[in-house]
Formats: sequence, C-alpha cells, structure tokens
Amino acid sequence: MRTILIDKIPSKNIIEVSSSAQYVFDPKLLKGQDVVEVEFLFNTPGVTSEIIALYSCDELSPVKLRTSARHVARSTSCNTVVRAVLRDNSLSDYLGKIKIEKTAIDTSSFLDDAVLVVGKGTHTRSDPILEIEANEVKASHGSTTGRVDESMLYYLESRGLTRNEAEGLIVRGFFESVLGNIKEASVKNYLEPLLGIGEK
Amino acid sequence: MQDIKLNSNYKSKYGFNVKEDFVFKTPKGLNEDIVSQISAMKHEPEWMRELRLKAYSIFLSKPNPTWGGDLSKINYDDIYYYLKPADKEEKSWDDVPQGVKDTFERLGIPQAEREHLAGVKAQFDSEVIYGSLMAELEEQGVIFLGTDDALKKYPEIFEQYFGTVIPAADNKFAALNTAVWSGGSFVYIPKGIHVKRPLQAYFRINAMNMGQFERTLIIADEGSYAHYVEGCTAPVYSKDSLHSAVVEVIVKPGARFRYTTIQNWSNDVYNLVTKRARVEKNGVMEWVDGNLGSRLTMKYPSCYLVGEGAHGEVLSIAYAGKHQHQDAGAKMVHLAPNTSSTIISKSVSVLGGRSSYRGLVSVTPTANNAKCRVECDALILDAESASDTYPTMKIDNDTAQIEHEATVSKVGEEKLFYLMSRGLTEAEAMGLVVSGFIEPIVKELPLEYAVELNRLIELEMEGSVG
Repeated sequence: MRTILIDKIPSKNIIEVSSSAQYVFDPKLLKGQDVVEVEFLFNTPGVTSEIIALYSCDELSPVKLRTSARHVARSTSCNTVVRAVLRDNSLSDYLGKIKIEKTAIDTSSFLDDAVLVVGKGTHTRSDPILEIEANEVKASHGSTTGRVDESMLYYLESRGLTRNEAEGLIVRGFFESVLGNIKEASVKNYLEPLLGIGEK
Repeated sequence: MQDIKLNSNYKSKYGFNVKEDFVFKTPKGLNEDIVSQISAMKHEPEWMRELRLKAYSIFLSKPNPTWGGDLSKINYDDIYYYLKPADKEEKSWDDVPQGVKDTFERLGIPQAEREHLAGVKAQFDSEVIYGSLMAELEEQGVIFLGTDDALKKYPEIFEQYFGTVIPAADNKFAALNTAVWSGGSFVYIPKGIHVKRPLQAYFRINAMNMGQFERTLIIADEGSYAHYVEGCTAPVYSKDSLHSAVVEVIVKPGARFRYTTIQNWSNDVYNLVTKRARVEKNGVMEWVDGNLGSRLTMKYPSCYLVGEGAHGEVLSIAYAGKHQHQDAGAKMVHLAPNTSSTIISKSVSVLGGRSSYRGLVSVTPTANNAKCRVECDALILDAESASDTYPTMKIDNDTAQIEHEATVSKVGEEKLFYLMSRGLTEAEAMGLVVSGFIEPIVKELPLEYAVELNRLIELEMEGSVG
C-alpha cells in the first residue's frame, strides 16, 4: 500500500481513491489553514484505504478538519484514524463523515477519533457522522476526549521521571500506536518532530 | 417456542376511530383571536393569555427548521388547534361517556388493572377526560392532575415553574405549543416522597387533522422519586396530523425522576416534541423513549445538569418502517462540576424507513470532571432503508471524559441461519434478532409496556421479510 502525504488541499476538495493507498495529513497543512476539508471518494470497486490525521494543537494554531469517506462503488473499505493532542488554550474541531451510498454494497468503513487533553482551557468539537443508505455494510465510529490519566502520570513519576517527561512519554505512546502503521518511513520521520515527539 | 405472531389482529384491534363528539371546536387555522378564544374557553388568568399571545408571535417569527426531517408538507392553516370533547373533567369511571370507554376498552386496559394504576390521566383529544387518583398518592401529598386543572388549583406553583425549562422562544414548536397548549399532566412530588407505582397517562389523537398540543409540567421536589409513564396508540388516518408537545421536568436536589414514553403514532402524524429536564445538585433524570410509528418524529429529550453531581440518562429506541423518518436523539448539557450522563440509542430501519440519531453533548468551562458516554447502534434490515448518526460533541473544559461509539450493521446471516436451522421461519428469526437488539432498553420498561412494545415490533416485522 502506497503512503501519500496530503500537504495541500486537493482540487475541489476531493481525492479520488482509485487504488489502495494510505493518506496521511501533513500537520503543517492542518495548522496553516482555517479549515481543511477533504472528501475521499471511493468510486473504484475493491479499493482499500487508510486516512490518518495526527496533530498537536497549541494556542496559536487551532485545527479545523473535515474529512468524508464517500463510498459509491462496491466492496471498498476505509479506516479513518485521527489523533489530536490539545495543549493550553487550544481548539480542535473535527468533523468526520462516513457516507455509504445505495450502490456501495459490501462496504466496510470505520472511524476512530481520539483527543488527548494535556493543557488547560482547551476546546474540542467532535462530529463523527454516519450516513448509511445500504444494508450490506459494516460501519462504525468511536470518538473519545479525555485528559492524560493521573494514575499513569503518577506511576511514571514514581519511577523517577519528571512530570513533563512523563507527559511527553504518554503523548508519544498516544501517537506511536498510529505512527507505527505508516508504511513509508520518510513520512513517519517527517511527522515525528511536527508532533513534538522527536528523537527518543 | 412461543408463537411470535401473537398480535396479528393488532390493526383491527387498534386501528379504528370512534365517532367524534365535540362540545366546542375552534375553526381551522390559527390567529390571535383563536389563541385568545382558547384561553377564554379555559377561563385562564390574564398572564397566561398574554403568554399565549406572545408565544404565538414568536411562532410566526421563526421559520421551520431546515435540518432533520421534511417539514414542508405541514399546512398550519389546515389544523384544528383546540377541541373540547366534554364539558367537565369526569370524576369517576361511571361518569365517563360510553364512546370514550369503548376507546379504552379497545386500547386493552383491563378494568382490574385500572384500579391498580397509580392514577390514569387519559387524554382523549385535548382535555383530560378521565382521571382518578389513588388515596395513597393523595395522602403522600402527590399532585397528579391535568395541566389545565392544575393552573386553576395551584396557580402559584404553576406560574413559578411554567416555561422556565422550555421558554416559548426555545424553538418554533415550543412557541406553538405555548400558544395553543391544552391538556397534558401536572405532577408535583413533595420532598422526600417515593412514589412506588408508576404514574401513568395515555394519550390518543382522535379527530381528523387534530393537532395535539399537550403540555406537561413535572416537579420532583428534594429527595423524591417517581416514575411517569406515557403511552400512545393513535388510530389510523390518511390526512396529516400534527403532534407538538412540550414536557418540562424539574428535578430538585437529590431527587430522581424517570420519564418513560412509548409512542406509536399512526403513519401520518408529525411528532415534533420538546422534552427537557433541569437537574439540580445530585439529582438524577432518566428519559426512556420508544419511538414507533409517525411519519416524522423529531424528538431529542435533554438534561440540563445545572447542579453539582447531577446525572442524566437517555435510553431510546427508534423504529422506522415504511415511509417513516425517526429523527430522534438526546442532549446532555453539563453546566456544573462532577456531572455525568449516559445516552444509549438503538434504532431499526426497515421497508425504506430512515432512522437518524441526532445528539449533543456539551461541557461548559464550569463543569469540571464531567463524564459522558454515548452509544448508538443501528440495524438496517433491507437495502431500501437508511440510517444516520449525527452526534455533536462540544467540550469547553479540559477535565472532561467523553466517549462516543456508533455502529451500523445488518442482521447477521449466521444468526438467521442458526435460528432457521432450529425451525423458525425467516420472519420469526428476524423478529427474534430485532427483539434481542432492543432488549437492553425494553428491559427498563414496565412489564406491560415491554410486552406491548415487543408486540408492536412483531406486528411491524410482519411482511418485512421474505
């Protein structure tokens, strides 16, 4: 599966998924634009894709992201994974839609969106949306927002880490589980410093 | 194995209408004169008449909502807004007119059971016709009355709370209801009182093109507990009918209130209802909501968690059959620290029906350590049907813990195959799977409602497969 970095908004905000691929949003694009809106159009039968958005928000760079997986052809599948870390006074606004048209039988489409709150005074908007017109399908979404677990921090601190180091490690683990799925090493290496989780 | 087509005579049993017999009926449509006339007919105090007129102007100023279902077919000028079927509220069962009795007979409420009901407020068109309260409730100081009556008997409580949870300007249909409301229940549970048996109300729409605008106001005082149940069985009509109720619940500190609704409107009813509870410190509010029937339902029971430690819960089932759109959901607004909420929604779409979950979870900056869990499961039974999920989460607090999960699926072939290999027909197998799917909510219902709901689903399932 190819890995494609989305570093600019595609024309007409549509990416046609014509062969199986992994799409990774460039965190710089997400932070640099007011709103980033991309529709992934599944018009070719049998294609599989992964959509990955990882970002860390701070006060100066709110992220507003809208993705849509629109299934038209049969037997396509899509997995959307979004991971956001919120630092002080930041905003993450994510709308993730799965749209399965009547013609798209045998579709599987999933969306998994998690927001980890690290800072104070944060704001989250989450709109995971399902619009399902066919019945031979599997579709689901999950969305969570929560603070860094105090007991995890306590455990790490009791092992001699400072609070900052402990938090950094948890944030790293939070992104790592998705970064590990990125097939192309150069994309992975590009993302790590942008997420504030550089060298180990 | 029990025969699951228990209720195949359902339509002939419930699909009927009794001859209309009205003492008073306003002309079709709505204007300021009609609003004033309704108020005058009810001998209401001046403040209520003014409130109605103000609400009417708000109703006119607001456009139909453009989201949710298709409301363009509602003709507000083709509806009777007020009907008065009998002169006074009947005092005992013997005084209830025969036609009304017949209706209840067909609704299947056994006489013996009636006497055990904590109190029956049966809404036959716009007025509470029959109401009986058990002595036990009276002794406890519980007030369970028709809303019109309550306004006369307890004007102070009424004026203090009416419209405080859902003001007329909240939305177009809340404004309409405030302008023309009639009937509904008024419940007051005094401090520390636990009402053991559910308080029950039955609602019916019986007149052609009759809009029903009941208004329910419930106050659960500190530390009290009660369970209110309403069920609806509307006769089948071909013309569109509008039902737009408003239900306000105030849960005082430490109180717990459960509100259960099972609705089965006929397929031509627009059911546009505003239900909201204000939950104070350590209070618990539970909405159990079953939506069947109607052409379009738009209903989002909500809890405003205003006191520390308040808890809100919504359990909802939506069943969208042929030509039906169930746009149902829930709203949880966390306004105080340590508040928690749960939403569990199950929907079934069949024969071209569409069910939508539309929800809101909001956590304000003052609501530290709020917790919320939302679970939505949808079942699509055939290729013509559809399902949507629109949960909105708006979290302005950095200590909130929010989880949302939704799945959409069809009935598994292997489940059907297994059941059919045990000798069930496909329809029976499908019925069993659907019953199992909604079971987590059905088990929260009082027994007779659980039985009725299962029967309704079986009836609806007939002819949906094979």
